[in-house]
Formats: sequence, structure tokens, C-alpha cells
Amino acid sequence: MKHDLLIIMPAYNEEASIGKFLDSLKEFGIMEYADIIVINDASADHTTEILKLLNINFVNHPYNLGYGAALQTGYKYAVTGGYRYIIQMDSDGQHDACNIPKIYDCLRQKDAAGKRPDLVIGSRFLKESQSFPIPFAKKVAIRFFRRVIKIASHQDITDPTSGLQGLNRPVFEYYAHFGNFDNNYPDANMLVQMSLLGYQIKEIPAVMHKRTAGKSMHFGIIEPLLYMCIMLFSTYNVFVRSKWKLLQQPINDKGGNNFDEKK
Amino acid sequence: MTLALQLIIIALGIFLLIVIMNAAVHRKISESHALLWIVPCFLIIIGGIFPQVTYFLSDIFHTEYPPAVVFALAIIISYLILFQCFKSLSVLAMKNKELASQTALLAERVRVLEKTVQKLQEPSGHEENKTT
Repeated sequence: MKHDLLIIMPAYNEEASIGKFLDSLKEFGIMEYADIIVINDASADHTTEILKLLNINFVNHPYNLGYGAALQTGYKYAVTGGYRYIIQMDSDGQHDACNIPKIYDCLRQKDAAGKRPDLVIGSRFLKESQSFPIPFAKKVAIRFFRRVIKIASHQDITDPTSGLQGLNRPVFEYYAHFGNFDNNYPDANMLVQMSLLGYQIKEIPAVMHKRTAGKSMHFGIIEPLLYMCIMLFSTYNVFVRSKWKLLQQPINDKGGNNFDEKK
Repeated sequence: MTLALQLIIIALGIFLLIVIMNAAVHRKISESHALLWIVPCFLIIIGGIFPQVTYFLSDIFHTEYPPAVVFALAIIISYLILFQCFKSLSVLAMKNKELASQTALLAERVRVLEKTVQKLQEPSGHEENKTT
């Protein structure tokens, strides 16, 4: 560990975009204050070779475990590495590197009550956000889950499907623990879980670009519909677990935590 | 169909639904696998509420004995779920072998690294002995 911030990038068959994106991180000087780890989810293309060539730290999964499991590997890496903050972002270049300093600052900044956010989401739907046109079906799904989160946790999150997130140590330590993170479909369900557990969630405007290469996780008609059904069911389960006190309670103090001061 | 039988079928469907959803809440079955079982539960409940569906289907398939359609549907659904289970089982077995193989290779690498570290530490140990 060189820095207190770790950038986690799950990658699956991203040979066409990952090199360019890592270059943009260098251009923005991100490597001066953050470590980077790419979780290569058993890519079948030349992603591994590119990472070796660019001398970037990476973890190889022995076989494809999926996006959620790749993120959880990153959380475990961050826990053992002793990091204080992590920022997770896609390696396909959709999330602009300029978002990193904004999220990092937000994670460290105290509000009027002297609390720091536990989880910062880069949103495409805030006033100063810059994003590409989103397909109608996806917009409907996002609005639907926004409503679901509002009902379940009374929190208004404009972009619940955003993969661009910053987490502080208590959050990723909690996620890294077995059973605390949905390593199949981490999405709105996890936001509801963290909100119900009392973690502070904050959204900031983000700059995002349209995917230029590779294949999205949600394509076709049946798969996204099935995904919506599973996500809805999963969110319901999280809600019931919370009501039945089946969620593992956080070990660290949450809600703006003073974990920094303790160190 | 008698009302009593209808009520039993509906109650059975609801009971199965509760069991499956409870298993999902307690993380004993994944959401995607639970959905596979929830869909047949709804079919049982619908079949109990609207028994006419059975007669309607038997008319379509020209079967003389309407419950035969229900049996056929039950067998097909069970077969599909069983197939899905076997598919998952095969993939899991393959992944387990891959993990075991990679763990064995990692253990070998650790052993070699430990030996190298031991060798590197040895000369300094000799020097210490000489000085004493």
C-alpha cells in the first residue's frame, strides 16, 4: 500500500478500452495519490497481456465469477492492504477519470454535522452531471428502482444503477465479509441494505461517456427483464432481512465514522 | 373440482411459496434459483383459483382426461428444473476441479518461495555464528 485510496476496476474482455482508460488515469495524475487494482475476471482476450505491459497491479480470477464477485475480490484486497478509501469504476472508459478526485474529496469532507459520507455515488442525473443519452428502457428501469429504494429505505437516489462509487473503510470492510455483499447482482439491493443499516449515502454529479467497445452486462430483452425480476426480489429479501434482524450488524461505527481519527 | 380440493391446492401453493421465499431470505437459495421454483408455485395457485384453465388446456390439446394436461405440465416443469440443477452441478464440479488444481499450484509456488527465502537467510545466519 502506497496511498490510502485504492481504485478498483473489474475487467472482463476489455482489451479494446482498458489501455486507453489507464492512460487517462495517468494523464489526470491519479496514480500520484491512489493505487490501482484491476480485477481481471478471467478475460478470454488480451486484457491480461495489456495489464502486464502497462505494469498495472491486477488479480486474475481462475474463471469468470461475475461483476459482483470481482468487486468483492477488490474489497478483500483493500481490507488486507489497509486502505482507507476505495473508488470502484468500470474499466471500459464509461466513467471519466475526472470523477475520481471529486469522489475522493467528497469521501473525506465533513458535512455541517461533522459527518462524512460512507458511500458516494457518481450520478448521471444530477444538475451538473454530464452523460450520454440513455435508452428509454434503461431510464424506465432506473426510475423504477429509484422508486423501490425510496419505498424501502426512504432515501432518494437518482442513479441507483451507477457503478461509479466511492466507499470508506467501514463499508468495504462490511462488504468484504462473507454473506454481506450480493456477489451475483450488487445494485439497488445493496444500496437499500446499506441505507437500512444506517450508512450515509451521498450522490455527486458525475461525468460519464458512452461505451465505445466491448459488450454491456445487460443486453438483449430477456436478460434485462430477468435481471429486473431478480433485483426486485433481492431488494425485497434485503428489506425482510433488515426487518427480521437477519443482516449482520456493522463492526465499525458508521454514519460519518471517525475511523480516520482513530488511526 | 370440489371446493375443498381447490382450497387444498391454493393452500399448498401458498405454503410452497412461503417456504421458498423464506429460504431466499435466509440465503439458503439464490434469488435466481428461487425464481425457478416461485414460477411453478404461482402456476399451482392459479390452477387452484381457476380450475377451468385445466379444461381449457385439455380442449386445446384434445385430451380426454383433463388432469393429464396438469401431469404433463408438472413433468415438463420438473424436468426443466432438474436439467437446470444438473447443469449447475456440472459447472460447479468443473470449477471445483479448477480451484483445486490452482490451489495445488499456488501451494507449490509458496513452497519454492519459502525455500528461496530460507536459502537467502542462511548465509547471514552463518556470519552471525562466525562472529559469535
